[in-house]
Amino acid sequence: MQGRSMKAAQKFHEVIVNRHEYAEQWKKRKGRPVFGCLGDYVPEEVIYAAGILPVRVLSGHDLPNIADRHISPDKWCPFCRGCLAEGLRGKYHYLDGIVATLSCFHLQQSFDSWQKHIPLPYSYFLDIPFYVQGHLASKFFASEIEQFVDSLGKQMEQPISKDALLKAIKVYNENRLLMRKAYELRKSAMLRLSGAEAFEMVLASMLMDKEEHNRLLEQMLSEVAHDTSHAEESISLMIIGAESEDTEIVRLIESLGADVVVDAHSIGTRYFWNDVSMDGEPVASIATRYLEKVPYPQMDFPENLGVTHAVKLARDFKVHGAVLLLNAHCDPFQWEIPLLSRRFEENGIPLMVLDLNPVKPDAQMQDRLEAFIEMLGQD
Amino acid sequence: MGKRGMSEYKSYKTRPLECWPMMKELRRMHFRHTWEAHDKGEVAIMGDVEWFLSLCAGLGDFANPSYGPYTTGIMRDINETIRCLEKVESIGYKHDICAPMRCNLGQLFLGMVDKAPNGKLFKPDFVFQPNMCFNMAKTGQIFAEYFGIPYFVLDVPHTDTKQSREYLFLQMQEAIEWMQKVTGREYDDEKLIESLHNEWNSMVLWARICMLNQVVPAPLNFRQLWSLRLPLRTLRHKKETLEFYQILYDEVRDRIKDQISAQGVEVARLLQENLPPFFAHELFKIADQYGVVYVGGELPFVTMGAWRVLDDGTWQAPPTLEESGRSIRSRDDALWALADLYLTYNATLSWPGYGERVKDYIKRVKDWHADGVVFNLDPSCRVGNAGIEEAILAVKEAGVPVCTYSCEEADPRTFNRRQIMNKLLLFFTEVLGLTKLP
Repeated sequence: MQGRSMKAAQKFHEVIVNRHEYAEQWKKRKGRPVFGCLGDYVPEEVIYAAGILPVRVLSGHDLPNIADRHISPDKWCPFCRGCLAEGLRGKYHYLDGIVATLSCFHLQQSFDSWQKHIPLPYSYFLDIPFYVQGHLASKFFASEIEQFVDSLGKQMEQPISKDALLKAIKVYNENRLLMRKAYELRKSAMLRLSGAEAFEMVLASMLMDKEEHNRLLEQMLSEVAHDTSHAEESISLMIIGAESEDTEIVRLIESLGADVVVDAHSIGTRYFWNDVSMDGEPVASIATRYLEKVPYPQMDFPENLGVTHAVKLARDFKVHGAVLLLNAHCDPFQWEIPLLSRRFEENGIPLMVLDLNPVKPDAQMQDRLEAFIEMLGQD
Repeated sequence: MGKRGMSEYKSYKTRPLECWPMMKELRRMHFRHTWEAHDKGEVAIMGDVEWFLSLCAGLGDFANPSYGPYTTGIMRDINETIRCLEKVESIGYKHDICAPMRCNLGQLFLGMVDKAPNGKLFKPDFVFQPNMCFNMAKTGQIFAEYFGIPYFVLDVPHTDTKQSREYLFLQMQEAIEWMQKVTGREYDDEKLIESLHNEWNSMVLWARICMLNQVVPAPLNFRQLWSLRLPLRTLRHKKETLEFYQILYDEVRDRIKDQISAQGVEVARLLQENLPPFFAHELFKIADQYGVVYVGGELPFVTMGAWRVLDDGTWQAPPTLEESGRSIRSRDDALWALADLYLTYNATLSWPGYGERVKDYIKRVKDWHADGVVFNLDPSCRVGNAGIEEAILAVKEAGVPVCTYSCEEADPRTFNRRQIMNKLLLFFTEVLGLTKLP
């Protein structure tokens, strides 16, 4: 893929680099509010249906020290501290609201401190069942979403209609479908997106107006289809992990002679792998979709569906190895390590656990990755 | 009369708690029950059930060794604790995971959980886990896999709304059907109703006992509270437990009437927020030397008590079932009451969102007449530590002296003795102006 130029991928990259400018321009252009979302269990479709741009609050790559007195670095992950730090630095000054769910205790800290220290005209918190495999969970979450719909309608002084919800669901499902198509292309050794391009594609989706993102996705798929260059045979890797902007890691891996071909990552398949059903009541369908998405370890019981999903992807995409990108103090993913290692080993796929540096990949990480890739090359 | 820095202190009478042996006997009974249950034709349930014990009681008397029948003994032996933790870590579970749960898993993987003291093998019938903290649910998952037994998770919502109540109620109904199916036993609603009565009223009594500790001098200290709470932790559904807490409540009232204090000298009153390390008794011994009485803290209060939390952060004991005039005649009545107990009168619900909790910390200082607060910032307990940094800032802003240290409650390797003891000493002497008692 050397020398290949894809305009759409370049645009995704630009949006990521200039995410705040993008949101501000969107707000100016549309004359509509922008809301921050903490975590990927916030039902974005509802926000979008209200004519609001939902953007994912992310941690950036500056040291999050500014947040330390509110969220201790001794026990909370750098991502949640980074999100608050970016808010405290004023990077998200354009936000009109912030929404979170109780899917992760770490991110909950960011939300609480955000409410206190960066007050916004609107903030909303949705309770979410943790026992997502339980058949009663969906109804409860639907009732939580129903209340959110009412609250947001009141805030906007215009109720959110069923039609608006259905339209938002359609746009979001299209986005998910197009991203899945893009991922399918990565199965082919001859024609595929690089891991970094795919990662940025998903990340940009979290930051952009989905309709605009959809147009760029279509453009990207077309560009890839007309691309005649082909990739050389290399080591195929999978990344697994929670929320963190790991583009630099993916680039680092790919600079070391491996290709990241698939992921079970928050900024990846966990974000878009399943759709909202268009049948039935939209709120209930949204609730079901979020509870049926690939669960995080803290919500994954009694069955280990997250691990099963990761193994299936690894097999489908024929990876040679997998790297679990572990945020410091991320206790949910720490629970998963032994089982994940065992299941990957049973499938003959080596798994490496890589402790992340919150700012950027360091030399030690590079050494470990290099050794891992070299080991895979020898097998 | 003695000196406290610039002021004077007074000595009080002390007296051993007469009901202490009763508490010890209840604990012994609980321990033995784990190994005797199957011989008696009863069910053995694994899981940190603690809450909702009466829900299981419809199956008849049952044993519940939590996840670690030997935990108390292990915590008394640092080497044994470390052996458990290292076993878990050798399997790949890392140190950010809840330390008590790591210790429980250590017992499991060392083959201790399934062995009675006489060497007889033990296999629980099923795992039942109310999910308030996912660490428990994940532990339950591993225990269920290990033993090859069925697993039920009762998901406890974090909000108290009509919808969350219904969610909990329906799950409890389902739990009963499930328990009948996996054990092949008839569920007895009368036993549920009787156990609910014991559970509700024991929790109310515990809150009242904690409130009695607002009196100066404190009739009980933190260490006593922590031990006295144990029957509630594992047996709150039983008649004997309710009887015990009624006796304890009466005795504590008598102590107040007779001016009996917990430690004889009460120069300063402190709240201990979050759990101190189980194994570091010296933290309390050093407090004794300066006449410091730890009069309570959120965890011993909240995990065992039923509380009505007012808007200004005041904690009050709610009415007993009889006082509330509530009539419990059917299974559904009992389940709705359980939903009330754990959604309305359970202050831990607000834990993940610190906002309301901050007010509670400050109000607790006032209501328990505390001179300061000691926080253990246990790095392995996320739920207990949610919002703790914001709480500390707020407590400090309210002008309350604060001392913080950091140690995992169940991992002795994280206990930096010299540093923590020095911090406490400096807090006692330099911040609170205390001098060592003669």
